[in-house]
Amino acid sequence: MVVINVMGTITLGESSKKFSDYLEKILQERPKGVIINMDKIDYVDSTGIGELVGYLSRYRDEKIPLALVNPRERILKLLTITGLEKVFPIFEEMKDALKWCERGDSNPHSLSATRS
Amino acid sequence: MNGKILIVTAHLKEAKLLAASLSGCVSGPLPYRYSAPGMVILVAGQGEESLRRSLVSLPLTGIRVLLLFGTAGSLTTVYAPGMVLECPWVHTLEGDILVSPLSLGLPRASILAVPGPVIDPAEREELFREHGTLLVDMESGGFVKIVKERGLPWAVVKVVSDTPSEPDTFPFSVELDTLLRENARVFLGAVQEVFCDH
Repeated sequence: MVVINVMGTITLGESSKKFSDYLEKILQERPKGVIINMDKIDYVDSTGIGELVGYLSRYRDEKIPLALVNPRERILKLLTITGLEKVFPIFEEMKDALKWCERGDSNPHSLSATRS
Repeated sequence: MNGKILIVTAHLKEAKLLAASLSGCVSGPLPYRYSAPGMVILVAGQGEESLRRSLVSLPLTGIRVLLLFGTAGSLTTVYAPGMVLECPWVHTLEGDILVSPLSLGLPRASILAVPGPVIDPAEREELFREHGTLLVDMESGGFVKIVKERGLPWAVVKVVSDTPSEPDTFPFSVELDTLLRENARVFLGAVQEVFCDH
């Protein structure tokens, strides 16, 4: 299981590229699951969201669960407004995300029973 | 780098806007609609079938990369109308994801290829839930399949034409025309930055 702790901002340019390069590298390693800890992310622009959504599908295609944990209120609001909370597995607690990933479930539609 | 860049569009309008932004651009030679130094533009028609007909028998000798340029509908509000995006992740309804390693340095989005226009907001929401892509169009799937068969590098670049709650039924409104014109320049700038020798 891989836990990625991201800090700062993910916006158009270097930060977004670094973020996606890292997600690509992890994808090639084919872990059992990936959890992105978002509690230290201050801001994500549409470019960062675009990368997240793109990689979510690719991870799902490879049957690798990818979950987001503890996004700050502003980011959670952005995910909700854009409808992304319907496709992203989002958890408040790391332990719940770990449990979900350990089940090997890459389908976010099964979340309703597990989301805290 | 040797060889020409082939830009494919669905509509003549898109090709015209690109041509207007290219210096030294002239009409033809057939089967291309326009050509400029190092570049040719093909109008392939709307939808996967037209695109297949136009591309499948096209001799691609001397072509080094194929780029699809046009508009796409939005499945979410992540990107606003008028944003120009490259789509390195092309999803098909069968569940395949076709990935391009090529980067033009533009913001990126996943796109779903569908056989016909999706103008019902509820249908767009359903597609988003099912496939999780940000955009939807009618050409990218066929384009990528054909280009991959021919073994050439590719990129899909799309201008967001609408929002999921108000799908655009007229792809070339005055407003979109202006946005496309501006984004044709952005797209060509990115292409020249990546492919032209400095």
